[in-house]
Amino acid sequence: MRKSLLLLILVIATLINAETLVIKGSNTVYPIAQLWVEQFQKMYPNVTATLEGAGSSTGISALLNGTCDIANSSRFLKAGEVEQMHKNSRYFVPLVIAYDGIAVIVNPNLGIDSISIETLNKIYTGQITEWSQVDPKLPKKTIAAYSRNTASGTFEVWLEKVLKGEKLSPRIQMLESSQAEIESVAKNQYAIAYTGMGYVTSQVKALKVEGIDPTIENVLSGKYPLSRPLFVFFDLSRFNNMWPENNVIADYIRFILSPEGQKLVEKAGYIPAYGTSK
Amino acid sequence: MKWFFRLTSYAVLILMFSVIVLIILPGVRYFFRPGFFTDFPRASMTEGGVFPSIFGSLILISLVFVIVIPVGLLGSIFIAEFSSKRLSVVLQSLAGTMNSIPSIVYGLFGLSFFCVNLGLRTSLISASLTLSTMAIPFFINSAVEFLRSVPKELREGVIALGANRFETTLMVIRSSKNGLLTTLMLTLGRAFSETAPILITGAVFYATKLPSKLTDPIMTLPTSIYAIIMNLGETARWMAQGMASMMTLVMIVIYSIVQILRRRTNG
Repeated sequence: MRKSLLLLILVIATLINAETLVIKGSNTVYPIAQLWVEQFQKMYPNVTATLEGAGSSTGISALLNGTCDIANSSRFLKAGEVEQMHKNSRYFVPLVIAYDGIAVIVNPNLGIDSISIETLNKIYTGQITEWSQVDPKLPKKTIAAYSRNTASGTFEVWLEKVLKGEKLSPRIQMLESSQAEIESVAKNQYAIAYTGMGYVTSQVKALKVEGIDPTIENVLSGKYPLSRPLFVFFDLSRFNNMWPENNVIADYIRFILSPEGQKLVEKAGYIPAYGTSK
Repeated sequence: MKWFFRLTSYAVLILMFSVIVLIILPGVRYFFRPGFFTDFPRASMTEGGVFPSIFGSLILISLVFVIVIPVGLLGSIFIAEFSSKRLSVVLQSLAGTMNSIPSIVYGLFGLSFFCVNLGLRTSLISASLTLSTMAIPFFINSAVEFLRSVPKELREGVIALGANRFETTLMVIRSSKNGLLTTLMLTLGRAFSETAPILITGAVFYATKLPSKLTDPIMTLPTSIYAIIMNLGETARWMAQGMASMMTLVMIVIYSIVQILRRRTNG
């Protein structure tokens, strides 16, 4: 213990002037941010960047109470958050950093290719509980529907685009992360869930929604009905409402919007904010 | 009737043993991967090692100790030696109550008090203060028992030899040394494995560098296991397994020390 104490004092003494960047927020943006942070570290060796991805709402509330520098979000600010922001005379700058389609995922063994928004609405409001009600050819088994928890930005977009103001059925199981959804669907043949495109693996099958595949082209053209932008927010009032110039936040933002940073968006499985050449 | 008791205790033992084996065995082989203990995680935590998590856990626990040892020790001495009977009952039941509060509540308290109100943000210092708030009542609760168990005759003997109050207290501490050390080790084990309070006050899923000041966020072993399982796929799982078996081994070491100390106290 004495040794680690000495080590602590040593570290504090030597590196006291290093800068730290605290990034929190969306679980959907997390894989992109992980790549960004790793690359950013190589470019700016003096900066420490830290990352967390518990959900969009946690990021935005952390930005509001000042416990983070950058908030990732898979949705725009909610009315209540904008109100709170104004009340504290703050200004969060929204930057669109990528586009994403919410993929509706099922187990590959289920034998379904396409689903409509209306059916999804019925499943998540609890009007349909068995797969045979979706398609008579499907087995007469109970649908195990999963959703992200209420901290998730993807969940908010889902509420808006699929549930359209209706109430989520209490039968739906809420999961804490996108990875947990992928694993639950891969294990259960009669499961359905939704995640950001970047999380889809070969263990699960992404369905066509309204007959349209969740591909890069279809999301970019806006044909895919569950498309959305992904955001990064930072607090401009920390810089007296002037665009920051010589600051670690400014460096980070310049990097993530640069062609190099946007290439990492593509690597993580999402669509760069500038579109793709493909 | 005897065989029934024997059978139940064997069953429980086998159950505990298999849990430990099932956690330790799958992870042990990753210890031999080059750089597991010394490298940073790379490539979205699919390569490299877990050094920052080990370092973070060590620093966090050292800080908790720096806070808990003086405060906890002085608090328990006050309760056992100096306070009036009524006050000590009140203080002890207070410590007992605080001890049974779920750890996530401490986390939320730490988030609102240390991180937001005191403006310490997500940092090493908020995490260690939160963890100490939780560990101090835990320490006091059992330390008081050990201080009280010093026989009255010993105390009277020391006073009869002309010792003042301070010297008497010192003697009490010295003669319950092993008990206090046991308590300290148990507190260490509790602080080492606790996840919820640090998850929301000081820990992050990924940091590119080691913390350089008290206001930097940290990576710790339990929170990294949680982050990997919740967010990353199969390719990163080995790292969580390695960390889980490492933590279990450390806990076994801690509790073995506790057992040895206990035996010495009794014998």
